[in-house]
Amino acid sequence: MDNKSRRDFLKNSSLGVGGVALAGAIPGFNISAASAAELIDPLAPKDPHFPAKIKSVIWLHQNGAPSTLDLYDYKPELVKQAGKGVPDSFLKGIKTSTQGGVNELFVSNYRSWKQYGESGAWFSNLLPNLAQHADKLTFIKSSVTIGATHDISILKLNTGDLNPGRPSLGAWISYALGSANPDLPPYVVLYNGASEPRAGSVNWNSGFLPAVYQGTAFRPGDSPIYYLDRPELRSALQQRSSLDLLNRLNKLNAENRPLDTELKARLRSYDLADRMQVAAPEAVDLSKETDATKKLYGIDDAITGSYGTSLLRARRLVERGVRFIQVVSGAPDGETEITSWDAHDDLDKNHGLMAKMVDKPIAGLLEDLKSRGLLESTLVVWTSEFSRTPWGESGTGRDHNPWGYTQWMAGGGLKAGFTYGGTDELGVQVADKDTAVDTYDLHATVLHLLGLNHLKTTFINNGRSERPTVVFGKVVKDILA
Amino acid sequence: MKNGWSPKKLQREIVLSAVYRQSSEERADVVAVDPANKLLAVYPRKRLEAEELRDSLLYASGELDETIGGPAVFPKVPSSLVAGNVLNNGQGGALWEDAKDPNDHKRRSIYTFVRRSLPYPLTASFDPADPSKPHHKRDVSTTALQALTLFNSDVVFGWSQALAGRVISEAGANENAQLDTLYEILFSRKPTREEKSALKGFLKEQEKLVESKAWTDKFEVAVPTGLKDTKNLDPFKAAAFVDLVHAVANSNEFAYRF
Repeated sequence: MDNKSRRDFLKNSSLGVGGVALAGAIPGFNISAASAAELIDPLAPKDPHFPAKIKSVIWLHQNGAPSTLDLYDYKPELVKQAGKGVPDSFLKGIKTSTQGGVNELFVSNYRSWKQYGESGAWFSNLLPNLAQHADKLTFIKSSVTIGATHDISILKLNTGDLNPGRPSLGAWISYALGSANPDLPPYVVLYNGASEPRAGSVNWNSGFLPAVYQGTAFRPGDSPIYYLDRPELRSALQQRSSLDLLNRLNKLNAENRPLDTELKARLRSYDLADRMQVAAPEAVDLSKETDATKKLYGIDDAITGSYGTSLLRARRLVERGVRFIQVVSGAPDGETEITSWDAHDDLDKNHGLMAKMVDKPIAGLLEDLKSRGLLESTLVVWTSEFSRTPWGESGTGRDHNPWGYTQWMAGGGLKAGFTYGGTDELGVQVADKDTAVDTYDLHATVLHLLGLNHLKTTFINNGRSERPTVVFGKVVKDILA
Repeated sequence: MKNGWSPKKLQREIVLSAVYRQSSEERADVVAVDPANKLLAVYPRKRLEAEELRDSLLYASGELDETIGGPAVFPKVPSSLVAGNVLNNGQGGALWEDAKDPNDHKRRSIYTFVRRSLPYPLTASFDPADPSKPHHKRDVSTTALQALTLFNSDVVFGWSQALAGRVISEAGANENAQLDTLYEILFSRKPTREEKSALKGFLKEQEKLVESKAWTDKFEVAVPTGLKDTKNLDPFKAAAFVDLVHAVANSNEFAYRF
């Protein structure tokens, strides 16, 4: 892969891809050589505010909201009280207006719990593989959010707002840091299963930031980006010579306008496209991975295969300098009944399948990153739009719970094998409200690890200086190493 | 105001003004004193907006369906997108199913259905208005994804085939006349001598390239479409001409308004 050529080109001739900074400015633009690259190429790499702990983020969105009470948050009191009503004292201050209402406390008959690692973190029997990595994880057991429907809370998880229009976290990161690999987009979205992720592209769009910072969805399959392959009836040689002709015509056209950098940028964008045509399929091509690696991610199995493929692709993108990889959990190949973690009924069946789909691949990802020395410079985030209630719904399911749940992170700059915060004895709400970690706090912490101060990462929109955390957000300092 | 608030009269005033009719030719003296061209001493060249670009390509190819009004249409999208959305609209139907009526694929972009969660891929990378926002100022970015879209999309390539057919129908078999006609359709001018020699050189070489492909097992080429008489069509020459048209339609001169 040719990583250097474009940067060298920028340095030497002050041209590049992108005209965002030049929008409205026409022929010529007197710029100093030092700032030329940044002005012309909106994706030129930029320095963080302070030294970063990590280079890349893998954002594991568990779509549909898993019950963390059935995965990480062991509540002996809930087991004791199962079948009884929820005491009023636990419901103080929350509005339980979701459709299910407050029913009797529910515990699955199939659930068992064990402590793992030196940290003694609790894991249920749903995550036997991930449990082996207990000492790599940093739990935030006091997560809160605004709970509404999935689409709205997913939007908040990714953009910090309940209405569409704000940039997603990955877009802010692309904007603030640029691209570390000129042949690939800095922000990639991966998903598995037969359908596009719920609520779609508003969750990786760039909002009021320029469109160049939006996430690029890499679709399952060999050709991850739209229009990556040449028209069917053209041979590679035909395509090559056509590009050469195009280049020649554009150069003739630009001769009369030597100071117009945007025209040259467009000329350049075709070269880049030509290279991306090679770089993108190569980045997601698993044929050079060993069988042992594929097995580690569970790619050899029908249930774990498609999610494992997403995660192995994520690792390959990390190796290639992609800054933010948003992995949305889908469904195992061929599965049409259970397509998310949304277990309003028959939690055992739903979580049995979903946990199985993600458990081995995520454990494999952590092990693989560790053994390649990438875990110190990468952040893996297990996150969801909200979680599920301790009380049952339709007998065997659980309703939505945004008042207290578990998310975790693993990777550089964090206290590993550490738990922050906790929920009350039944797992309804965060126990100590001062420790509550909202979406904004999670975003601020991720940005901090990337060397970015969330208060100083700003963009002027409609005359107002906007930042990723809206008007909220505090870095969760207690979990930093 | 004097003209009874008539926007038509206002537009006429603007487009007939000396400022609006300035040439966009680059002028070193202007760049020296007003690099951002705030005083509009030269016409500010602009990239065509997402919909303008699609509509212009369709129009040049002679394919544009100018029907006015009616419900929004679903023009063709990549098959991988259709496959991914079979069960996704909540009613068991697809989020995007290509329109059955082929004319719907050629309607003006203003009639393209806008779905917030699934932007129309052909124009999505060209900074279209964000449907999530009530008011939107468009950016102008220049990215590799745009280049991939225009150069690789089967749909856009199909329009280049149609444009090639239109040129041959209008100009006849003479190569010089074909190149002149192509440039007149796309840029309202004839090619320069240098351009013409580049184009002719390309045709010669590309014809050989296409011919060499004929010796492989499966020979299929993209030829101009919409021609009445295809009996005398030399497939090698015709395919090379389609490639030429596609490259010219992808050039900067087409994507910008100078």
